[in-house]
Amino acid sequence: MSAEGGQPAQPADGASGSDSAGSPEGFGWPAVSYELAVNGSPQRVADAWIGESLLFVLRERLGFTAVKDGCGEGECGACTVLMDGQPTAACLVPAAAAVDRAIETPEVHAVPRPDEVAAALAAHAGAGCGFCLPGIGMQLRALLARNLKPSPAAVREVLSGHRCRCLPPERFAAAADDAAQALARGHEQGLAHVPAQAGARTGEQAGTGAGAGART
Amino acid sequence: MAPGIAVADRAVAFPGSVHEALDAIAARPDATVVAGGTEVMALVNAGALYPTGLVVIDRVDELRGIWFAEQEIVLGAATTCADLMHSDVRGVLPALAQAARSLGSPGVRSRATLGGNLLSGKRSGGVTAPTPGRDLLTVLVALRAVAVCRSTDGWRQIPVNELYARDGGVELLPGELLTALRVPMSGGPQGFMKVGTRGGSARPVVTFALAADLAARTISCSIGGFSPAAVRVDHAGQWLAGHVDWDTGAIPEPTTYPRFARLIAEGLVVPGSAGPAGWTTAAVAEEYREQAAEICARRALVRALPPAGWLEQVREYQQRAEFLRHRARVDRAERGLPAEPPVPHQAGEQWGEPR
Repeated sequence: MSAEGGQPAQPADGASGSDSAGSPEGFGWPAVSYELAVNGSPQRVADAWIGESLLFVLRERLGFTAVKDGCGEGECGACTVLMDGQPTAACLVPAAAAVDRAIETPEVHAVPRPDEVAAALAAHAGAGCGFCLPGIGMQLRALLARNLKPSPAAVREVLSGHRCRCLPPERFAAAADDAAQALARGHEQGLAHVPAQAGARTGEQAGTGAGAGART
Repeated sequence: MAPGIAVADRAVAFPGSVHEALDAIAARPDATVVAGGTEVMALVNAGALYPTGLVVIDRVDELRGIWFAEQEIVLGAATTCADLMHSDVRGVLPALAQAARSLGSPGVRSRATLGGNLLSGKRSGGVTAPTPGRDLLTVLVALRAVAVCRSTDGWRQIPVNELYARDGGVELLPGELLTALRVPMSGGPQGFMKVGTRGGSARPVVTFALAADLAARTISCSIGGFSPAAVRVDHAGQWLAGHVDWDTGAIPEPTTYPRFARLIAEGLVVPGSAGPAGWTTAAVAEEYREQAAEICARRALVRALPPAGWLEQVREYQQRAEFLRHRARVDRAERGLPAEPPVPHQAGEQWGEPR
């Protein structure tokens, strides 16, 4: 959960490697192995309890720590990822049920170089603690992917599922407007006035999660 | 990558059809059936449920989607709330689309399903479940929907309110799968109102749905949040049907609205009820609940059946405003005053030229 240099958690692969076809000893909890398509690359998950949420598997097993663990009941929106392009609360998806779905985490959009949405969030909402920003970023990307000129009402509606305790919603509405304009103008121009550092620092607290794919 | 290969273990089953799903449930009666997972995973994350097996039915195409027939609309049980907000649904079942929209956040609605909403909360005779948010049930009860259940023995069709025991527990037989909801077509305005635990979409405290049938000249309404499962308030609907001008689909007498709301709020003592099915996240005083019900009823009625002459009043007001704009423009031009006010110029705003 640390902002910078957050090491991905220990991969739990070796934890229960003794048997692959059922319960790890001592618990009696059924475990399965499967493959998730995260950010376009297959990620192997071995011997995971079937009750583990997609959020837990992404963060603790695969090291995508830009996905934040907030409430665990779909209220806060910090864990929002895209599943087949749809914004989804990762804490409410059984990880085993996410097999065969294209999962996108904030890393693919903001590391190493922040995209328009991340840059706009860094410029407008960088003053907050940043915990909610990765989720808000994914939600805005889903919105802007289908509507490049969202009305203020549409922006507010998609933001309604995201709790931010630091900043007023106007900041995020402004960020959405900026991101929409930047996307419409084109990639190069849109990023010109925002230093890339700001995006990496506060826009999306990605840590080193994107590199975890090579490690597991 | 075929679903069956991706997860080799039998602990997680990915049936591709209703038959395969029933087989999977029969093979592992202890397994948890998961469509969206929003209800199940909330319990798992809270440590209230430890699934020993999963039957994931979100890939069963037979259970997803909406079928429009002449006499009825069939809603697949695994249709997501995001699909229920589609404009097609909004056209024929506006109350259901509204209820789906008032539920959760966009991230939850993209996974949460109709069947999962109806079957949330406790099982018959089971312990109280923490999330009794059956918003969609209120609408389906008002629309007199029929629940279609499938087991290996065959079909079972019952009115949706009979799916629940008196204590609010879901009475789904072992090995049974809720496949669809059949909603009889009723042409007419509908209304839905909800008071949640906070502003915006949230868990419900009080939900109210109202559906008018212009052909049969009947109104049915239902309320959720006062009894274990949503109930129809038939006496209020019958009373209201006598106070509607059915030729115009409007209400001539303005006092009908508060009187109807009072009727709803006073008839809330449901015989045999044991309180709401499970605790909500907010402990709400009974007076607040009653007041919320009254306001929900009034607003839903105002939205569904506007007062007679209301549209005429709006048009009159618009004409007056248009006349005023024209007169002011001419007036300023005659007195030689600038046409544009000292405000920043906005796109699409034309002060000077008459349109």
